[in-house]
Amino acid sequence: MSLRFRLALTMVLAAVPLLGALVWLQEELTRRDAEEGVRAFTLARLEGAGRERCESDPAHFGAPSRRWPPQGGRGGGPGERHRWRRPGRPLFLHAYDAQFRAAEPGAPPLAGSIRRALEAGAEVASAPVPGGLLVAVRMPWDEGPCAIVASLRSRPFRAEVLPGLLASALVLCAGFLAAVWLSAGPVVRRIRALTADVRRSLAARYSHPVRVSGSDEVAELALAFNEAAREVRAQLLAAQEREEALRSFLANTTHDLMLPLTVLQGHLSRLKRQAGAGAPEPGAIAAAAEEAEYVASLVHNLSAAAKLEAGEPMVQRHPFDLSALVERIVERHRPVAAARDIAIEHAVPEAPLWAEGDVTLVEQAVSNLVHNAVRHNRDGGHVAVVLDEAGGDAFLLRVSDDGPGVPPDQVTRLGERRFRTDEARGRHPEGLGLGLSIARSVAERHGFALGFAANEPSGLVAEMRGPRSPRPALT
Amino acid sequence: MHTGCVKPRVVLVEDDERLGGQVVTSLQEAGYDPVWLRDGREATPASVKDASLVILDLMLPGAHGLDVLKRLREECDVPVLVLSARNETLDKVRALKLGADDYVTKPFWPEELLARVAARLRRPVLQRSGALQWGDLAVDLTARLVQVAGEPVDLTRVEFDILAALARRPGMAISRAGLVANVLDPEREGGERTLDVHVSRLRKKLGPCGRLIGTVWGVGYRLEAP
Repeated sequence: MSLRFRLALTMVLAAVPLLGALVWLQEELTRRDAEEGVRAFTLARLEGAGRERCESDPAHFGAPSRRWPPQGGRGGGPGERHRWRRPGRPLFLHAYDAQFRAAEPGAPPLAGSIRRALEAGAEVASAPVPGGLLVAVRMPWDEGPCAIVASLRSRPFRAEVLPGLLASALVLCAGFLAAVWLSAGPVVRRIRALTADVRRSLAARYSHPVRVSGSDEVAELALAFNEAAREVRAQLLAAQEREEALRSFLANTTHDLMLPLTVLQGHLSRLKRQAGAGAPEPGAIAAAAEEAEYVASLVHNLSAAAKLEAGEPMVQRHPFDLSALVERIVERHRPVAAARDIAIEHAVPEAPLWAEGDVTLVEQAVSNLVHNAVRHNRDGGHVAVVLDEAGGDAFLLRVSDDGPGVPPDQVTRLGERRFRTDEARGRHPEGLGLGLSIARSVAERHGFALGFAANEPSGLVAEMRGPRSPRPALT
Repeated sequence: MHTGCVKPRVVLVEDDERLGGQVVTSLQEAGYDPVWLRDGREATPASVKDASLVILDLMLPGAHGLDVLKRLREECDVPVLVLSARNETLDKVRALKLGADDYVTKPFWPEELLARVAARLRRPVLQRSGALQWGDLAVDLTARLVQVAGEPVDLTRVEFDILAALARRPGMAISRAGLVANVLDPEREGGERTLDVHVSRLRKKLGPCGRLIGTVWGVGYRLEAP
């Protein structure tokens, strides 16, 4: 439905009750006019000698008048002949006593509404009867057969009035419609122009805004569209960036994985040769296992990095059992450590210790610390993972090793460097790249303190400290 | 390695042929009685009724494995170890909330999985009271009595508390810091050096059983296997 049509329809719908009200008003005015006319005429007729004439022969009082409307109001003297008469419509007067009884046998009965109105004190009352309007006038006296005088006013036939009424209604409606058609024109044109503009903007992927002219609602609509278009465009660009980042992430990941997988294939091929020649060398098995472990940790770390970069809501917050986490991590690294004769030990408090955060990320962070402690240890070395309560409301997680450690000038810097993907991606010769960056970043995200210190007499100690959380109720 | 007359039944719910085969083999070699369900729909409370443990792959993608877990948990409380395919926190949190006991993230070493299984079947290990016979060493936690080869040993309060802390979780390492915090009187005696002195006295008093109290590098002490 077009805007114009809708407006026109609204106009017509609004005009119908309005016309009805007009018709009613006209009827009401006509009725009042008739009441007033009959009252003035009747009073004039019955003043002075009229009353005597009526009371002497009330049954035959109702002589037609000859002239309508009354001229000169009610100020007629005795004996004056009022010749009021509506052309072609003689006016009969019927006399009634105070109890509404008619003196004339053929007089129309007074309707209940007329009786009630007159009893309530009205001077004149009327009611529609077949053939017209019966108007009853109460005389200034309350007794005798002529206390009330009524007259039947014939009304113009509806058939006579209706065509005129319909015609004026039609003219009125047509006028409304024409007004709507004309006044809607500029608005419709502005909206059409805006629609065309919006289509153009859409075709250009919202790169240019629509024109805003004027200061009306159409201009506001254009402004609102421009706001929406800016938002959509920002989202589009962000999505494109994410897609680009994902593509380069996949490409880099593929590259990062190929290297350790190549090394792993080399180890396996050597193992095959050695197995063919007799017994495989334990060192080669350990190296292969370690390389597989490296691939797994790399994939986990890349996934953690993606999660950290995406931020909320990818990073979850739930209470988790730190003691169970320590046990999982130690069991995870035990096979590789065992292959190199590295003793990996752990201890947790008697009662499980809970913390809050993203368990996958925290597990990966701690796993990286353990991974480094194992990977950079000497064969036959030690790694210890210890979880303790620190005061009543904190935990302390310590990963220590007795490997060669890190030069003193680098130890303090381990905890300082900010997480940067570019820097972290490279496979650092000391292995202090991605894994430690993830650990730092995860600690920071969770509000845990992560520090590093040289171990005595050799090796590295990493300490993670953070708030405990209450154990959640079982659901 | 499990040793016992009846092999504990472990139900594995895994749709991948290669991984399933590998896990079943390592379970058999470790002395378990594995039952392999290749379809999650077979994993009904009835099918796991004789099992000591269920290993359930969450089966990437979707919540299929979680549905299985929910159905199992409605009727039985057999321990469930979840294999989490995705490195996804919500999956793990949901699984734990639905009543899983533990999870292992892929990729995992067979030894790692077996260690988790053993840990699940071993529980509870914590001994709050009662008596522990550990080789020739007998510790009565309630009566606070210690005997070595039937002979009572007279220990100080601190020495007994150290031994009790180790005996409550035999075979597990207990951290120095934890022992200091729980056993030593913070008013009178200080740190880990004091603890080491107490332990060395305790070892002497236990005589031949003194060697059962092992030092764990970087951690603390442990009641070693006799």
